[in-house]
Amino acid sequence: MKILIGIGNKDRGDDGIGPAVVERVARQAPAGTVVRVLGGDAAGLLQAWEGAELAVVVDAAWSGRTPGTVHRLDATAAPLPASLGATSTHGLGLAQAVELARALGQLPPRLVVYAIEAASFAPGEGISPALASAVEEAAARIVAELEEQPCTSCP
Amino acid sequence: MGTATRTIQVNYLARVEGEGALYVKVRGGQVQKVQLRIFEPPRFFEAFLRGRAFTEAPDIVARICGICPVAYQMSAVHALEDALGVRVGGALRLLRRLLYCGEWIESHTLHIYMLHAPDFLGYPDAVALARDQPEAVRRGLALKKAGNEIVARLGGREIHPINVRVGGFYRVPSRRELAPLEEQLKWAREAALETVKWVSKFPFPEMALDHELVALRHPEEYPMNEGRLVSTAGLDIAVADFAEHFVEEHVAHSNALHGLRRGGGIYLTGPMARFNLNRTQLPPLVQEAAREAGLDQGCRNPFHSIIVRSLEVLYACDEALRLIAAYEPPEAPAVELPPPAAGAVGHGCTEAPRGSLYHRYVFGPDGTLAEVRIVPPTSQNQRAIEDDLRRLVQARLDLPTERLRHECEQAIRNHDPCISCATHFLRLELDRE
Repeated sequence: MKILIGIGNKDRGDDGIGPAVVERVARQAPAGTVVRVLGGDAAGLLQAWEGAELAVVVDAAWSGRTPGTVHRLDATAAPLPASLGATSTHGLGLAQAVELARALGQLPPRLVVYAIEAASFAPGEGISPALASAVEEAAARIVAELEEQPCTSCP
Repeated sequence: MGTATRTIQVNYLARVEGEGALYVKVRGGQVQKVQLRIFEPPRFFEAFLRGRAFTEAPDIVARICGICPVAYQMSAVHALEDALGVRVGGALRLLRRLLYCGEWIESHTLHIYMLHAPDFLGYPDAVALARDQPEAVRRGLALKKAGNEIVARLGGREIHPINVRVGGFYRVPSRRELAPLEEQLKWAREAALETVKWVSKFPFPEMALDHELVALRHPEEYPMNEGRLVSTAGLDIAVADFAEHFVEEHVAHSNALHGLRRGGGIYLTGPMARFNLNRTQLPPLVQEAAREAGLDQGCRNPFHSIIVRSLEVLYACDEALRLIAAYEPPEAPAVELPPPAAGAVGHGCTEAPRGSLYHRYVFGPDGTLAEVRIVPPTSQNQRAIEDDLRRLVQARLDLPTERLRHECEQAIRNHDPCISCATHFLRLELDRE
């Protein structure tokens, strides 16, 4: 199973970038891809990617780089950098979910995180114009990632 | 340490809901001031409910909290039904209690395993705990999931359920739809029993609180949605008389109102209060687990609140199973509602995971909501939390600063404060000379 997870709240400006990218990809994702939009709570994430051989997670980032910058992070290889910013007030967001899963042996064999630099988390619907092309760029890269065939002959 | 000046500052208290800080002032070896400063901005829910149709209230108030939306919905529907002169009984009442069981399991388990257990076991967070005790953390996650499943099944989704309305539900489940929950809850009840055993062996700092404890009491059941407000000091009132006995104060250091007994007394709501006032209502399975955990004579050490929460999780699993077995679908998903009468007033108080949650609504001339008052448990508990901290710091002034700060955070988490709900909060600043 492959799963694509968008994290965010559409009513908090660019926090909706995760759901927006997922919506864009959903139409072109290869058959059999499970598509979910989540709030980003750790327990929910662990549950969602359970049993997936590939999980792609899209979330907003807040690190001070140019809004619209798309970061691709291999969460299977290393913890997510703290510099991307915690957007959760609950203290148990995506980065903690990844480390919790690693500690519990519940990381998918491949877990890729697309983190997109946000411009504003002000209340209200809609992504900042500066992020429009980032949605397209992230969507195209994710579709390619999902279509990539796993190496079945590898041991 | 006598005359030395030290300042400890924690910019944010992690592992509580929302934003806040703690300021402690010590002079000449005496704790002079303890302030919980809540700086999460006020959220004005009461104001923006004015002019809305009463039917919108359950979905709006659910947005106050992502952890306990069911509590907000339940207090709202009961208060609004009181204003309409309607009572909801039978299978609809049962389903509401089942939904609440789901939220108690979900909220308490999150707090026990992810937020509070690391304090007792000396880990910085749940991730570090998971590295050493993966089995325990897996059990916690699966137990929480059992609660989520109940809320998702009855509420339409896990967070901010959308199926609750004044008068009942939009849609009620068939017996067949509830059946899959049974297997999961049977496992969860065992996991909850394991949880009680696990947490009751933690090392507990000695401390005894003497606050007045306030909770609902119901003649036939452990309280969730209904009852009279009673206390360890002999209070026994109808929910409608809440305002005659409890007040809220603005304080300069906090965006949250402070709850007090009229006349100024500090009181505490929540699991400790519910358990001490209602433990004889718990079924034999839970009473036996309480006895084995050493709490059969009640419990006055706030650090034991983690055991009490685990007992309430056990109860909620057991009660959910009882309710599912007893369920027969009602004829209609909701009762008929009369039009709202101008000037009608309704009160509701239910037991949120963190304590008593009081709502009051008044209908205006056009039938919309004219006045709304919401008193969440964290507001009510702030003074009691400050009082716990005052005693704790006074008794442990000789501890190194870091250790003391850790114990303060742990003591705050004893009450699982939900800052988002109360802002109507956290940073720790220890100012000693």
